[in-house]
Amino acid sequence: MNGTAEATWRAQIGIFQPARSRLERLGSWFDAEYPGLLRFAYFVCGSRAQAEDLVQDAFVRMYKAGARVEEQGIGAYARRTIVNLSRSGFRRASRETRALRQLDARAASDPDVDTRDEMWRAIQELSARQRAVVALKFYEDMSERDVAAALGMSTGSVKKHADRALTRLRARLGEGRQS
Amino acid sequence: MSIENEIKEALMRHAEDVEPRTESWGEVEGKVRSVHQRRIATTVFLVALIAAAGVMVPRLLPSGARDGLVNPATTGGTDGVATFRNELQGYQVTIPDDWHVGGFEGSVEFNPPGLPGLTVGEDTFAVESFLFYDEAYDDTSEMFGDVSFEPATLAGLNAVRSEDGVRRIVYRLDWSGRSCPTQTSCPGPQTLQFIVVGSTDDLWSRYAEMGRDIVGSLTPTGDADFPTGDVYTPRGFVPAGIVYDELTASLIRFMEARIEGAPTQVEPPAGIVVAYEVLERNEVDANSVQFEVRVEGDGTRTETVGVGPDGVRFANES
Repeated sequence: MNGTAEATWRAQIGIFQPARSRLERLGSWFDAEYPGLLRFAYFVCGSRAQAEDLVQDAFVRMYKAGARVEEQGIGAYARRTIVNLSRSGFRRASRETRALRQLDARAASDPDVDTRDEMWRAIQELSARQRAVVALKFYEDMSERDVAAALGMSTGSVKKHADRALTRLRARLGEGRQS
Repeated sequence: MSIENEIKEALMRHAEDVEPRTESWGEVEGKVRSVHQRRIATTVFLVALIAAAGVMVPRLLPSGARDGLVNPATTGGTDGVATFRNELQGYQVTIPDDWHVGGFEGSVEFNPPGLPGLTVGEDTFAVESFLFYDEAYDDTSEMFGDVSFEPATLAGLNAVRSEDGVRRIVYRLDWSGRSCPTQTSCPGPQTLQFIVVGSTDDLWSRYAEMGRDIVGSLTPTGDADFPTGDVYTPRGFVPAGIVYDELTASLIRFMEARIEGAPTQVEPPAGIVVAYEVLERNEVDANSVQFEVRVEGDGTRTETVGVGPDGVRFANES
């Protein structure tokens, strides 16, 4: 392709740089939400490496989603995306994630990593949605209504997931634990 | 100590397991730029400007596009039905042609006209599908606890089904080996799940039978004839006038993978794409066709995409 043709072609396909204002807005969101979302993603997936990946992918998707993110609320959109990505075949099947999981598996076999935390391990056996509800309800101290808004569920679904999570945890850890 | 407090303490103990990394934003920025800046590789070349009048057909993407997905137009399919075909996950279903196609980041859902998607949190009716990797179809405990499922057969495949009397039917099919969008082999079990759900008795009584029919129409793409009417995909629309065959299917697989961020055969042009509509198909020779595809994302534009024996290639964009 000669220079003129390439210039024409570039003009046709548009500017190569992301819109600065949009990227800056995404950066502001990232600064504000990243630590909390990283922790949330970790609670949902149980993997340090995958949590980072989930948060980054969520922000890339937020960039692609544009105005819809602001319509639905930044934190809520990000949390829903993280939960769905953690459940999604695309994320779980990616080579990148499988490689990261291998790193996590090695970390898990590291004697320095605490493997004696029975409750933590029991939480990891819950479904992704149950873990998301548990994290927001018990770590973030959100009301069921706020959890519902954050995850795009009805309050009835939140209550159901929370009840089932508690039932499974009690069953897993022993009947002696009561509310 | 109550179990709630034990949970809270466990989460607090592990909250510091992950530490924010200072370089993370730079990595996100790089990914965003990568998405935005994908340059056309050597497989992409300039042909000629297509006359605007010939390409910029003022046909809108189906109205009400939301969440990057498109809603069926009301132009109609055949006999009031249209086909929803998911090339990457390998299935198709028949839906009423006035139902919406929506979803949220990985899930696909169908809603009757005028009713919102599930994530809106208002009363609605939906048929939702989701593909799970590394999950056996008959392992229902993780998602559904002690809800009882019964063995079933759907589309000739092993499945389990639950109708628990709370305006909800769940189907889980053994989909192992049927969808490998991002890798060359498919180790581990895969499950295609459909949930038919209504939030009120009224909605349930009006739409449950239609929801059952949608799921009942499920056919693996490998077993299905190519559709002839309007075809909706997770992110796009192929109108009835466009011949849907293996070449069109190749285009759709490419477009869907591109939007999902999965690896594609060729680097697509720069720019964000969240939805698309196939506008035209022109036969080049016996084995090759050229499509005009309207894409929507960071703006709206028309791309010319060739599909032939060598796969997909970009010819032009306007």
